[in-house]
Amino acid sequence: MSQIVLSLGFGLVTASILALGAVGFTLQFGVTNLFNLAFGENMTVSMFVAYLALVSLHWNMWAAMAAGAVAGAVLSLGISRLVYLPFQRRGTSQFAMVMVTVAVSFILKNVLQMFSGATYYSYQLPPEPPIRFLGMVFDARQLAIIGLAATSLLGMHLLFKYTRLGKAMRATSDNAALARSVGIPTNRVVSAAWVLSGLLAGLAGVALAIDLGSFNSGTGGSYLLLIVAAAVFGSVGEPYGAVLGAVVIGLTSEVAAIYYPQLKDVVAFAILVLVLLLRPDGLRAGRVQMRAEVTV
Amino acid sequence: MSPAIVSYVASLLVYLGVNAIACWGLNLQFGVGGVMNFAFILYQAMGAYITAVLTLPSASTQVDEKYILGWHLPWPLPLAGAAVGGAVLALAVGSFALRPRRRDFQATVMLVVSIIAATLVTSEQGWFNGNQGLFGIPQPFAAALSLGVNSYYWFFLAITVGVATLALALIILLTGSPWSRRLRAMRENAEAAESLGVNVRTESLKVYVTGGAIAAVSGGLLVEFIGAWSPAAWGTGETFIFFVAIIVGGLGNNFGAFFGAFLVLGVFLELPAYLPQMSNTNIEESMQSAAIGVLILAFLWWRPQGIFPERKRNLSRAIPAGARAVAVAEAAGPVLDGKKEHSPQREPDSGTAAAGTLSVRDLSRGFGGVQAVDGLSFDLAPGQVTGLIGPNGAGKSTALKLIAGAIAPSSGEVLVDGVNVAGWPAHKVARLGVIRTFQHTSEFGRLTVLENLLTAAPDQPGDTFGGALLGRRHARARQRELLAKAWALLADFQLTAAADSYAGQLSGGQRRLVEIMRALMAQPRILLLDEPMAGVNPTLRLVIEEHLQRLRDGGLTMLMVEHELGSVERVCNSVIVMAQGRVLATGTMAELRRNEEVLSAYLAG
Amino acid sequence: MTLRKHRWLAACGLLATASITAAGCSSNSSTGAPAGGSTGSSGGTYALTAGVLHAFTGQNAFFGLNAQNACKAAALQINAAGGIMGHPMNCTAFDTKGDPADAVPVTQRMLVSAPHLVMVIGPDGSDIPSVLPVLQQAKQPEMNTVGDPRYDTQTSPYFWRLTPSDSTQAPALAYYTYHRGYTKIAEVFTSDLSAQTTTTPFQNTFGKLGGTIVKALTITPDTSSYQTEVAAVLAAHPQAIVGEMDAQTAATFLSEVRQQNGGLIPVIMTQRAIQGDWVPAVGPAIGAATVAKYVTAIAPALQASGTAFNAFKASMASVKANPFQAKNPFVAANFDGVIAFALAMDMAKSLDPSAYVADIPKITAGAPGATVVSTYAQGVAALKAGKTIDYVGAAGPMVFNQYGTANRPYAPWTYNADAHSWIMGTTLPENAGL
Repeated sequence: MSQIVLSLGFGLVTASILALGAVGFTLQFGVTNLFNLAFGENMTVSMFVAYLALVSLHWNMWAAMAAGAVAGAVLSLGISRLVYLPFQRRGTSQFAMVMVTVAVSFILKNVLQMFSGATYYSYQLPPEPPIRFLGMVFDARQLAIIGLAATSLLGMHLLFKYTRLGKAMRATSDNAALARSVGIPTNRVVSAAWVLSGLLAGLAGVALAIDLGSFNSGTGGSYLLLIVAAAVFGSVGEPYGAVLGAVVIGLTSEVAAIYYPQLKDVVAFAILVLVLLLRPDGLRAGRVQMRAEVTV
Repeated sequence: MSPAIVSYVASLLVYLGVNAIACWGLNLQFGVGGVMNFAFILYQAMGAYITAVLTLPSASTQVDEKYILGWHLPWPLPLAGAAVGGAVLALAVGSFALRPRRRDFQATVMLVVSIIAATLVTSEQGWFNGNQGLFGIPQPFAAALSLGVNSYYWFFLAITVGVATLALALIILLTGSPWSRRLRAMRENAEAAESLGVNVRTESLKVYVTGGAIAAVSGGLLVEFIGAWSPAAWGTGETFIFFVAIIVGGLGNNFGAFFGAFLVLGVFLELPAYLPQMSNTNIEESMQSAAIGVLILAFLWWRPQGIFPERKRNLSRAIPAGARAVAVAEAAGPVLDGKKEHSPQREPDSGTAAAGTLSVRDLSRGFGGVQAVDGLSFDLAPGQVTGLIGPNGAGKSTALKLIAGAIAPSSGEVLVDGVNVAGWPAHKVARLGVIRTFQHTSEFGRLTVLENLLTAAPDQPGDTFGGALLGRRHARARQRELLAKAWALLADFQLTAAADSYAGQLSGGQRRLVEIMRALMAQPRILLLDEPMAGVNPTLRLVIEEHLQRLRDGGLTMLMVEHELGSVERVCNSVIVMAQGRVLATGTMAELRRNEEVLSAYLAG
Repeated sequence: MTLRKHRWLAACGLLATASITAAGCSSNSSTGAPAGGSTGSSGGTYALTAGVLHAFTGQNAFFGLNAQNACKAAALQINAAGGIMGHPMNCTAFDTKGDPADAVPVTQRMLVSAPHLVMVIGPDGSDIPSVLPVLQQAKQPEMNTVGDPRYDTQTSPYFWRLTPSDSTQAPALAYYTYHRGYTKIAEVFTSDLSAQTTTTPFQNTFGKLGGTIVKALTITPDTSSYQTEVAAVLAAHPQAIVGEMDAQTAATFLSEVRQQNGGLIPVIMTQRAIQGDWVPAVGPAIGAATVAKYVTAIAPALQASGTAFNAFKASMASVKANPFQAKNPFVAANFDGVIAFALAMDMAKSLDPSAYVADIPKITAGAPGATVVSTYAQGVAALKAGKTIDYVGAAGPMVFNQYGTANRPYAPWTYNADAHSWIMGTTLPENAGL
């Protein structure tokens, strides 16, 4: 029992990182309808930017994380403007767009690798004393990651609920044509979605790099699938569903590690498969469909 | 030539054959069927593993090696086993991975599956000897023939050519069939294909299974050649190399896929070795991989159809000139002369049965907290056109989708000729003759107009997987019949000139016409029209109206959602007004114009 | 019409392949001798090739870089001594990408394009099973440092394994752990490792010695967190963690041990830890000083002094190799292998593999009364004087058994943070733990 409580605590850290990434991924998908498989590389770029800030410029961790997030946002917006939008304007089909994002991820990853080489990088943070809490063990940095995720997600929630931008995003996510017809400047909303998604990718990336201890040019890309799994789990385009997906996958993969440490990712992915068998379009599919249907 | 060169060239050709088989398999799945198999490499790998363990003797005879089976089967049984294994795996994976509606979700699930499988194969030592993999797999007939090294290379090349020829024959049979037309329709617009009676999930599964089996054979052949297989031989990323290959080669084109196979081998594997070597091989590799990314972007931008685009099927050539002339002569009258009685037989097959009846009882569907359709009930008068109007958000389109089975109602009945079809999938409802057109034009863009029409026609001998295997001759007679019928429709709508044009290249109005003709080809007994006048210019609107009037006079039951009230007035016998998910009023347009409630809810606003 | 165009293009494609191959051949013909390098009888001086057939890209790229520099350093020594029978030797890299499927055409391209190929420094990973048959058909001897125990009883005369099999590594690991005084340990291996070849022998030996494994874990490599696994290990209160992890996994796992435990506990790893990518990943994550203090690696012993080692070190420095590599027993073994093959050619007075292959084990057999030589020059001189030689190279004696494997003793290696390199401790007894 205490083992499970302990694992749930660890799972919370994993879930926090996943949630940051999954919300960023799904938010951008909802607004732009583009399945962005280059999201992982966006995370990796932020990891390296934070590394430069932290290790070369000797900034503190928070400033480095902010630098990573800003870099993620800039990159995300830049790529969407330079690559994705022109392709979409050409009427490139949905599946071809997925290949476009795959190509972008290839390019980003390998350009990074050209500069970083095959070696690993680390923020070289000093050890922190463990903090025990309700049978769980954390250190200050992990608590910071959990706090960061909670704050960011609360911020997103407030944004959606109370700001014009957030409402416009939701409207665009529901039905872009309709949103445009009622005077929502969808272009600006789309840009905002890319920026926010990039910010969250950056935060998730830096948090992941802190948690991992070391990273290289392929780290974000290999982590992407878990993020996508969380997003698909909760129906892509649904930020609240993504959080749910992140929590479920984060917690189960840690708890699974008690029993099947050699297959813990498999257990997490198996849950995804199970969900798809029961609800092909994700747990919160009804909600997404509703928004699409009602506006017709 | 020195012996080493002979074996080098022979091996390259064997690899070319193996890659070609793989590319054909992927091209069938993705290029033709539109199924994004991001687990593609898994099928090649599984084919290799299965072939290996069927060829090897029992694992108990080996030291430090564990694997399942070990049946020591003679050639070509291991390859056949690979095909079966690939098909079974595809069936298992496809049964859940193909469930999400969006192709990109499916792709992601498959990518996940591919990674799970790699983890399992690596960590489950007992299956295929884990990370170390299998080795020492005997080459077919090598021991029996005891040929010299080079002679054996040629012998193996002959085997490869043989297997590749068989695979190609199968592929050609399938891609030339009416079935592949349905697949391509599904690729272009799955929802529209479903609404015409194509069971998209099942057909996707069939094409996925076929492609999986073919990929597995390619892997089996490869492992027979190299004699070893392990997780290092199949990175998840290699799937994308195959995608790049067929995208560059040309989607939906078997020659393009072959060319792609050549590219995989020549450009990605062999060519870099002949470029000047850099001191840092890792930078070289990075540049190479980045170049692959740039190549994908460049192709998708400048030449998305690939080097060898999908071949256009000019079906009109198959129609005898005589048949064309007859159709044109027949069509010339009625279009211009509205008074002339339009015989029901002229509309494809619609005269053979009595007009369909449709009753909707207490139909409801909520999404979250909102009732989009809330206790909707009405009856359609058989053989008449009923209009369905109402303000935005009244639930008109949702009602149409509920009737057609595109979404399932939460409660209520939809009675088609007395049969309750509520909750049936769309393709099953469509087979009863309930055909729906779409609010946004939903033509199959990269199918010609004629192909669009043919796709919809039911009862084609070659439009199933099994029928396709029987060959083209088997389907020819019916195809000719359907072509004549389609040509008559085209003549009627004065679109014969565009018969062999890609539907996606037509104007918006013309596409609307294609959609209506396509619905007519499906032998509808009840036609559900979702805003047929949306985005259509006034001239064309008159043409459409006239056709609808003629169909009405021919006795076809229709339900038409439309905002253009003038058209509703001219076409519909009676009109149902919907508001907030239920019926507000019914009557003729003239009656409704006097109805205060309707006016306040809709007409005035 | 379009079809005909397609065929025409296909023909072009095939022509292109053919011309590529022709390019491969022409580079040979320009040197005026047939390809394959198996004929050494023709007169004149021409350059020989040692083919370095390894993964140079991908996860195991460090294998290739190690072998390439070892080859270059050995070639330097050989060429300084006048080459092999007067012919200078070059090392040419051929990248298998570590992929058994990609490796076959690469191997054949090497056989076609390498002028006067006399030896192959062959692959060490998953690529070897598909490469070996091709080399054996071409009767091309190759040396490797592969660990796979399935080769323990192989009988091909063209297979020469310069370092011990993994089947002797697990017992050595158990032996060292027990004799260091750790009797209650946690065993942690990644799941991509062959349990049969490493985990089981380790458990058997350790149990026999009287030690207890308080927790045995097989973990998924490269996941983002091992917190639960680490907690399970620590809950069992082991004196040490023993096992094998790749660089990224070790970085994450060990930093989480340090975090949960408030400091690391002793860690004993297999030879994987001394490979080039391990410390660069793990060092920054837990601190190089922590690696130095807690981590021990069990790897083949290196002589690390004497004429042979100094000559090796000097050559390595001349080819601008990473200083890491000069301390790596696998690099040293490859270096010794190249010298031994070259001496075998001198002994057989032939560049023809079928003639010299039988002499390879004789060069290092250590027959009684043989003249011990430490460098290529010494070896050539002794051979010319008609003596039987025993080449003892940088990595120490390299005696091949009847299956072409040179078993060697193991040693514990610890990391020196200031020198940025692994330092070898006292060599374990031969066949430790077996």
